[in-house]
Amino acid sequence: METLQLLLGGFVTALSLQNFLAAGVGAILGILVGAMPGIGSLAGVALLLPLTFKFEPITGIIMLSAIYYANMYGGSYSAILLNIPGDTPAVMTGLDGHPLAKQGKPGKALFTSNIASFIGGTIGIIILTVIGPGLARFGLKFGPVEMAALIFVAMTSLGWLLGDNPTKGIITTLFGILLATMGFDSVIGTPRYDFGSIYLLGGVPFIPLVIGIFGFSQVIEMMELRNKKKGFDTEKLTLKDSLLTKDEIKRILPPSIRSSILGTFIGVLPGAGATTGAFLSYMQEKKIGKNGHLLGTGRVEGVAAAESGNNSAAAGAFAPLLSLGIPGSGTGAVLLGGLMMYGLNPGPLLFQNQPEFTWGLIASLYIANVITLAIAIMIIPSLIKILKVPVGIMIPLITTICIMGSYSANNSLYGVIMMLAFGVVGFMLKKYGYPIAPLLLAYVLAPTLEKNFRQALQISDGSMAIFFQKPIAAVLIGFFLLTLVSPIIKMVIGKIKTKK
Amino acid sequence: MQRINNRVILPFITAFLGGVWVFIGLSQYGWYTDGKPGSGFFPTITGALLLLMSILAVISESKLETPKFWIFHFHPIIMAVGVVLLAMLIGFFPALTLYVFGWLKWYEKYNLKTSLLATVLTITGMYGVFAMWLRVPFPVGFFIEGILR
Repeated sequence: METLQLLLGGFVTALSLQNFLAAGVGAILGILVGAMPGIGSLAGVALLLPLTFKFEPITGIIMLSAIYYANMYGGSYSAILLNIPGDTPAVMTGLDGHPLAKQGKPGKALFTSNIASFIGGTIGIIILTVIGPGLARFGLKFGPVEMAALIFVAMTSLGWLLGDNPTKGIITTLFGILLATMGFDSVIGTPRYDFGSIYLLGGVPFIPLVIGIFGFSQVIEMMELRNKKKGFDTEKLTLKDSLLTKDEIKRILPPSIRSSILGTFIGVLPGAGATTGAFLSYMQEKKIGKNGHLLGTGRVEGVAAAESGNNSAAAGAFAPLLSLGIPGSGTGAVLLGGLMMYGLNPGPLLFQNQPEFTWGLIASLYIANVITLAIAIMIIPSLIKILKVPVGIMIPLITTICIMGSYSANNSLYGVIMMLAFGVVGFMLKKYGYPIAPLLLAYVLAPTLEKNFRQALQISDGSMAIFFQKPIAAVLIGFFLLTLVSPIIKMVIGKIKTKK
Repeated sequence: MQRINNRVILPFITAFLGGVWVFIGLSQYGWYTDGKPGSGFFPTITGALLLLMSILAVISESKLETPKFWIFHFHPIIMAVGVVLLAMLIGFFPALTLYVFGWLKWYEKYNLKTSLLATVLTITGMYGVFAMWLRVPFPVGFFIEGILR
């Protein structure tokens, strides 16, 4: 009851004209920046941070949060339409979103993405409102041992994420981990695998890698489609035709709700973030969803799972940020910096000492979610027109976006060169039937896995027994082992059945 | 003489990389140092697994049909490398403008009006977002730098 009263008070603060407008402007800017390949939520929030300094602290933070939040919506657009994820969490959205666009249903994909983002965000914010501080305390129980065990579970699913050949999936996963080990050793801070190159000291740059593997490889592939004068087959271009049918809504609701709950929990974990949220939600749907085996072929369920997973994780990340002062992601760290610049100290006392601010911020997330959904739906018809552009024009257009995006990642032509190299790698992998999504996700998850795994072994003096001594880790490792063994058991059972 | 299936090239490369990672990991960074996992611990395990899986892939891939590559696949790569080189000389946006217009007018054989319109829209949009709004400092090229000096 007290929470509800505080929330209502928060709505009074958030609904003042200035704060409402700030949330609206933040939502528009967030969508635009999120849709730009190569910018992403972290860089987007960081770049737009100075814009908020002109306002009162509460208005500034509301705007910043709306930017962060809307970024998650925007990131999926370029993934769906061009197969270039605007941000890492959108990688999973593109797995089903882009095939849907290719099938002539870009509007359905975008609409599903928006609705699922809204559901994910709403559930995430409700959970944050009700059990935010408690969730944050639970998240703190995830030390290196538990985090390593969680990523192990994620990694086992990676290889079988796509494709019929597990060997190829595992190879791309391992290749992704290999790339992630280049640069500085995150545990002891010494350089490794830099091969004497000053550029490789910082490791393989992430944004050029994403743009190259997904975007530029797509350009090379599109050369085969050049003879087609039209773009993809997009018959349905109106907003009305993009609306979901009753059957489609029924199909996306269960994965959206499941993924939102999982995503919020993932968002609460320190260092996990929206990417892990989207990834694990998609994996959950692939494993337990009614049409899980069809994911990756252009299913609305896949788009819904990924989008609600990443948006709820984005909301969940506010729990440790506000109640403990611990950012759940890199973008959370920028938000934390923003809060501190305004003289606010996030932590358990923030809820007590600054209730107007804290609950105003939480209430503004609800408002930002509604505003972002409205804007996102209105721009669907304009967005899907992109796919009507003939392939011949799309090739230089996407190449230009790839070059600009990879350059702006670190303001260096080195980024462009890396993007081109990974574009060729991505094209070769696709041509030979290797799934490319596991490479990227392994690259993202590997540093967290290595850091936590090594720290866990340091705690236990090198004994693996620590993974079975901690209850949460033991459960996760049990699940991990089950995931490893289950395909073999399934195969044996299948063979026995066919013999009979 | 029997032709080698080009499908094995990729697993050969990944096997080589796996081997390099194991060798450097063990020889330079160390498996365990002071009773704790060293810098080479994680990369060595990854490299060894990659080596093993790549060998398995070489065996299985050699039996499959070889995919075809065409010279046109490499045209966007050559053009993009050209843009990078040209950007160093005349600057980022002039190089991109020439690339987009050149591709549309001479490679895709669009008429002058379409080529110009698409080029202007693309470059203006990119300049507006990246250079003006996000203030990304793009290189102006040796020539312009020389003139400005």
